Amino acid sequence: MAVSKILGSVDAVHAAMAAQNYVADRGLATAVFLAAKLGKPLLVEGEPGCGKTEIAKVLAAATGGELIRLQCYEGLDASAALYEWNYAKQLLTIRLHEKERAPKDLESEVFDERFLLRRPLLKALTADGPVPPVLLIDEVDRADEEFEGLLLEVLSEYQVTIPEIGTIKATAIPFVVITSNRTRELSDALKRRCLYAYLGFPSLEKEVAILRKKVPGLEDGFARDIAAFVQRVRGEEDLVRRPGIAETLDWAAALLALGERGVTRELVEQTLGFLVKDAQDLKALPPARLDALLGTP
Amino acid sequence: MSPEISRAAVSADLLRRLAGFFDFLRARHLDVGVGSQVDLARALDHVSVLDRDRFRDACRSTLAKSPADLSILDDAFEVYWSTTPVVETGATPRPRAPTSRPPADGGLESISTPPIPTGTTVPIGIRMGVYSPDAPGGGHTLPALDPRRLAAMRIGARTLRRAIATLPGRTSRSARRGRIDLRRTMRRAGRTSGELLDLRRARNRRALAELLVLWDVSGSMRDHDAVLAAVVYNLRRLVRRTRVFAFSTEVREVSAVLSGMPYRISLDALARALGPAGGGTRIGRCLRDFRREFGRLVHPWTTVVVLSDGWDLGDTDLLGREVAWFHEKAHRVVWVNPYAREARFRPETAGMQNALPHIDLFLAPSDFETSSESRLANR
Repeated sequence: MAVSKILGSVDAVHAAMAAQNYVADRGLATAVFLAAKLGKPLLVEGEPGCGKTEIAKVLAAATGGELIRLQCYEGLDASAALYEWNYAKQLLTIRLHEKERAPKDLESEVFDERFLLRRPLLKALTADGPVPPVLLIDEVDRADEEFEGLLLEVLSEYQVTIPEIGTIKATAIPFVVITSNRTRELSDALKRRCLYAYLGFPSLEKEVAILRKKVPGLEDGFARDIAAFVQRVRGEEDLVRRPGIAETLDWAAALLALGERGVTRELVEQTLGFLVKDAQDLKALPPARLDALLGTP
Repeated sequence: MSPEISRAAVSADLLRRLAGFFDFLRARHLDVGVGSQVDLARALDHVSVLDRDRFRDACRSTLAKSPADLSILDDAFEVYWSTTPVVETGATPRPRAPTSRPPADGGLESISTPPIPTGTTVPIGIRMGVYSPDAPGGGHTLPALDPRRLAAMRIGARTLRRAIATLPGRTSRSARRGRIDLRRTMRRAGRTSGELLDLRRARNRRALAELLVLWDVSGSMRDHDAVLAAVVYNLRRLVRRTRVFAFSTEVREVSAVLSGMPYRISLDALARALGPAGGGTRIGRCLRDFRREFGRLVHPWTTVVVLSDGWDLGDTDLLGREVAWFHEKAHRVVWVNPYAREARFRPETAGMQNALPHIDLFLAPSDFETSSESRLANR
């Protein structure tokens, strides 16, 4: 199906995401649709493990576009995100031709696109496939604030300026998804260039729907029991890290692999590590408290 | 409104109403920039305003930039685009404090922000709790420190940054292991007629730190507000990854008012943001609240700096447990006590005694001044 049709309306986006087993609410489908229509990046913030990264994967799968991922980290810079010169290749070329060419000619030759190593951002701009790629800039809050400055030209003009070559413009505007866990505030300049969506913890009904879609073989009643227990755990105020959807899915898959069909205290005790991934939180959930959460005497 | 909006397929009447909506949002402290206005107008080419839910979703996607914005926008949307006429009460529109935790699914149903009385100054940043029986009136006055003393404290803050740096900076140093350093390799090749005989490697120096500053602004600390404000200001300026939280009987984030502003302007903004000075301090409870809400910000590379005299009127065992948690999770726990360098000072308060075993660095504000630089570095 053509990309214009897949992202042609809010309902079409909703259906396309559902076809990829992603349970999106109406607000998220509208944000994705508008980001595609307006050609703007989509900034998705929210709780860890609630499906932010998955949006880009789902869109790539739905449109058939290449998924180009840039995982952000402390110290990420232009050479890892944008481009780098292939120094080894340049050196070899100089050594090969140093006797027959003038140094000035050689200099202009080695600063050519052939000697450019394309990193994810440049790769997304210069992709020449039939379908625009999906560029995922994951966990941008982990990168330095200076890196956000680097993103500004890419995200607003869809172009990159390389001093030795000039400006490279995007052949087709990629669909850009930026995710953040809100460990720090992003700059206003970056936020201004993006449309915004927030993914919080899902409601019970939505979590049951996600479990049914993502964990094959899970019966409705069992899925509801699992989701209800997770919702109650999330409601505990003193937990440092509340379980996200990713943890719920891991836990459900583990329970299913154990051949279980119901949530019991013993089972929860044995498998709580799938759901609660902080030692302090595990200590804070002794058997008596698990009983209370399960509603058993 | 931007002239670009007039090109959108929206009627003149709708344009007027949209302009009014943007003003309505600004009055509620949601700053809608021209770029966002243009985005919404362009979005209305694709989303019908007659579909109320889709229209609201379009507003949420284009105008909001944070969970707090979403809650303001949801409320404002309900009022402004209500099908029933809005009753004018004559009162000026009041901003609402952002909720302590974003709503599940970004929805409206889980928002539970208490109403704010008319005339109350709403502080900048995130607030947890609004009313406290222990917090008497009386604002914070933050007199400016002598510029030379401020500059001296900056040197101390820089020394502390070096001492607690955990993150790689931008400068590199030669190392046996690490990435190949092409620049040094090429330079070395120059000694051997261009032959690459020796691959040089480099690593980035550890030069950056991440700080969480928890600042006690209760009544007992009032005499030290000015000097501690200078410490906080310098730390925020020198360590870019710094978030500052003020507490007395509640915790609130004040990082935003310390960003990129001159010292005196920052002090004024800080005094407004801190609001009334609390009398009773519940350090343990505040640290617990902080852990619950912002515990995810504490990493093995984060240093937690607590500025407090340790006078806890609440559960002092709780204070010990909470500091122990920070000690376990963070890189370092630094406690800055205004009385630490006084000759007669003994950490005899129950709170301080419980916290001390878990503190890595116990400092006084004077340690940040130049004369104490070596003392700070040696600690």
